[in-house]
Amino acid sequence: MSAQKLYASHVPLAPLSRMLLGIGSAVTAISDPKRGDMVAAMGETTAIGPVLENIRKRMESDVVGKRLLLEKPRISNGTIDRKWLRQLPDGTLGKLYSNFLDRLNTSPDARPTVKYIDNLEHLYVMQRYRETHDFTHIALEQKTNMLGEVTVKYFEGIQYGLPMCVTGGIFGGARLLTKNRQELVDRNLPWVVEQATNARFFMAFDWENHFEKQLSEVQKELNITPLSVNM
Amino acid sequence: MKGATNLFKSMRKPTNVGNFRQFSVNQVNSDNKRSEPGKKTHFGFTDVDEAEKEQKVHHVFANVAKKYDLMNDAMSMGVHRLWKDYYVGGLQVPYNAKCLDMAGGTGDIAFRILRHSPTAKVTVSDINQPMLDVGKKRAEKERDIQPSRAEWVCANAEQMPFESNTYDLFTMSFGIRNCTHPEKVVREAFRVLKPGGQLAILEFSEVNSALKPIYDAYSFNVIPVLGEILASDRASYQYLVESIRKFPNQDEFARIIREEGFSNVRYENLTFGVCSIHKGMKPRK
Repeated sequence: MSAQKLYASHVPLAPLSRMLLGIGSAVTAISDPKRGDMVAAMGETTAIGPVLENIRKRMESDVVGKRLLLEKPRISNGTIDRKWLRQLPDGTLGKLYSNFLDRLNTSPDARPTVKYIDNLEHLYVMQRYRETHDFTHIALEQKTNMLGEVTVKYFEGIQYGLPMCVTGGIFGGARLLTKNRQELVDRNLPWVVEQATNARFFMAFDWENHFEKQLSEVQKELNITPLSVNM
Repeated sequence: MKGATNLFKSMRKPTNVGNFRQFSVNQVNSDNKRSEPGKKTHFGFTDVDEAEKEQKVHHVFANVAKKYDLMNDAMSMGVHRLWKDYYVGGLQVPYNAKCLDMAGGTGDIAFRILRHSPTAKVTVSDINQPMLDVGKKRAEKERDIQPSRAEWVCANAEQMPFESNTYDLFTMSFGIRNCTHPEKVVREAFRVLKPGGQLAILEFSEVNSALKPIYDAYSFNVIPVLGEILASDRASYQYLVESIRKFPNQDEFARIIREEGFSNVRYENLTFGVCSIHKGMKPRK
């Protein structure tokens, strides 16, 4: 291995390896979406410098985002108090997150750590993306079924420009069954496009400071109009 | 924010899954194990205590057992089958031979021997039970062999539980580089072989220098990634390519075999030295 390890979980990749991993992980992720490590690897290998730099710049130009970049807070088993979340009132962001985790029988640490990003600044951006993906689900009130995931991917693709989100949205959408595909095209997509362009930049939001707020309040702050309110 | 954890804080106390993810820069010369009292050895490019190496190797193969055959095909593009065919084809298997296939794991060599010689009996031995389990399952499905002619024994190649002077043939394919003390393995092989018995070891070796750059590029850039994609395990295959480079080359290994008492020691390179077959005979009294 030629390059230096920049952080604990860093795996420096030579250009040939990176290309191979990019292709291989994409193929594996599409054919076997249950391979979470391959989905993560594909996300990282396709998140090229300019894309992450763009996200970082947008975060920096936001007051809260700038603080996030400085303090680099993590959403992990160590930083999230599940017990405290569970006893929050119903309808709050924190309570909904707790339900979300319980329902999927998972935990914040269950997401793969970032390995293949070679730039320390971009490392945090990627890690933050991975850790706040669940909050995006909750804020948009999208379930974790295929339709919901595709909707969220479109949102993230538009807001962040991450190639994984864009392709995930397109290919994921193509795999939907007729009824869901109809719903995606007729209802979810127009709505999510509007939301993505008008909402606050989700990556620059300090979710962890808003656990005690009602979801509707958070959505107002983010400038999100829930789908069910529309026709 | 509730107790924010800085990303960089995690750098000071790296939580590695298995220590072998940290690669040490200074490589202790642990090739000549006779000169050192024997505290440290190599695990790929990492230096580990000898006691640890066995454990780490076990972990590697327990992890890869299920995907072992698939990965072999992917990494060598199927060529490993040709190597093994040639290896077994060049063996002299006497009538009613008792063969010991060490590090025989999933049975590739054992099945070939059984097909090659209808009267031979093979003891397949491996330090790693999961690998043997895969082999046992395969035995039921393999064509043209009788599973009853194979027995599966979990054992350490450096300290074999077999009687001396028992076997006509000792084979070991792509296993000896994983042993902490290859010379001990050769010594044990000498012990369990009958006088006149054959030793035949197939192992990765030093590739022709002209091809080294391509081989290295392929080894370090392609194989670990393949491991990640096919078996979700980059680290084990990183270990694989590193362990190949730390193993003695053709001449050094031949010298070791001679020193353990074998006569008529020779080797033959396959695929420009990517791997090599070392053979020897236990002298008749």
